[in-house]
Amino acid sequence: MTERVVDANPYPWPYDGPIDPARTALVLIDWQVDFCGPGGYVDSMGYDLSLTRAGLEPTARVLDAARNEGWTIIHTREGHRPDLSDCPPNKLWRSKRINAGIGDVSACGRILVRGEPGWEIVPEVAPIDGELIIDKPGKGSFYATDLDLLLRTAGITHLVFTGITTDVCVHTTMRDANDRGYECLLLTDCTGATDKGNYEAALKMVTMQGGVFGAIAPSEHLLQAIGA
Amino acid sequence: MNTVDRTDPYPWPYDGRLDPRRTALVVAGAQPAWRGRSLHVDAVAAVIDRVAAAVRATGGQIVVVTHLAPTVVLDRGPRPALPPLPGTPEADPLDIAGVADVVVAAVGMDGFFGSTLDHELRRRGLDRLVLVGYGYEATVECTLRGANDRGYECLTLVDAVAPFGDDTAAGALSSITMSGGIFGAIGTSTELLAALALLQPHADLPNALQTREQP
Repeated sequence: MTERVVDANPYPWPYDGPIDPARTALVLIDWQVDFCGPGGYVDSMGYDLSLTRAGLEPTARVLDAARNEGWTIIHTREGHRPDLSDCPPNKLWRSKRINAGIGDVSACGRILVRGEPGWEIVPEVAPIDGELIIDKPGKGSFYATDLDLLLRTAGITHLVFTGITTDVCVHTTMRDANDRGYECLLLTDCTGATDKGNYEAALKMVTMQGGVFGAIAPSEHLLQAIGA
Repeated sequence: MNTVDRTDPYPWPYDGRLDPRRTALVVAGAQPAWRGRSLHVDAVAAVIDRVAAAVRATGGQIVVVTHLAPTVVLDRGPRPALPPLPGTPEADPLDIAGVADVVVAAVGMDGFFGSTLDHELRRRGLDRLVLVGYGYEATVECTLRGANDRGYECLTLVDAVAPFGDDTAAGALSSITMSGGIFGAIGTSTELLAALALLQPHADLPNALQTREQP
């Protein structure tokens, strides 16, 4: 491979390589206790936590390498105001119907509420001073947030995605980023879903039609490309 | 309570108030560029026509969404063939406009991005969306995600979406039903048509279903 270009599917990423740390951001989506920690929202719904935790270790390695290279680092968190005034009524109803109500008290505090223990990012990939944090009320990281403004102001044109869950918040954010013209790469081992089949389908969807949402690659290929 | 039977994972809509006057049939990916790359397009086209006629006959609205490549994507050079380039035949709206009340042009795969879709829905009081269309995993899915985050109550019709692949479509539909319906519910056109017919027992539905309205 050309230096600083990732061996990715369905095309070497980025299309306009090589990777420029000044124009590239690592996006860490919703690595929150509620989605991958014991007693959090996903755990309380009865899903297998190992599926959403599987990407933590490789993500920590990529985060380390990206910090060393001086990439912009962006963390996102899904959560609502304590009075739930930013939670659509159908979203609230659906969560309560399966006994994991948003705002209800769980082992990690109130589910999906800002400031609660379950809403915090897990220590393995926690933000450090100076890194950007996006608080979002929905699945997408662009809707009702200032993410696009932050990226444009920082001159970021390329996004590398990690996070959970693959088919929900990661895919929504990657799709929205692609619509906005950002060149996107999803790291296959740095993401997970509550269902393995849905995870695999979500990865395949990225590669359809010549890369309709960008490209995918294992993190090892990215680390090789940047010599980390 | 009025809901559509056998929708998954909950009876749709969530509040038990199926009301055609608050319901929009959103046809995404309604362009040759998407239809030409999708599977099962003839069967899906027939279902969309039937559902459109029933939604119209019961007082609902038909909204057709087209998707163009954003300028920034054109500027960056080599790109996939989708979304289509503005001004090409591939980008023209499909002839679903015979029953369309609104045609909206988005500049991305999310029908809400760079479009008046949110405005057109809100000003008509339409907060329940039935999603169908072509290029399912891209256009319909992106628009569903945009709608769901905005609080719209969404039903995806499994037999009225034409996908790129059957395996990816199965995954996308399954994802909707996770976590109690993370993007709403899924169901079939048969059940939706039956529910709409029950709401208007005196309406001449069989006739309406056979008649494609003229613009």
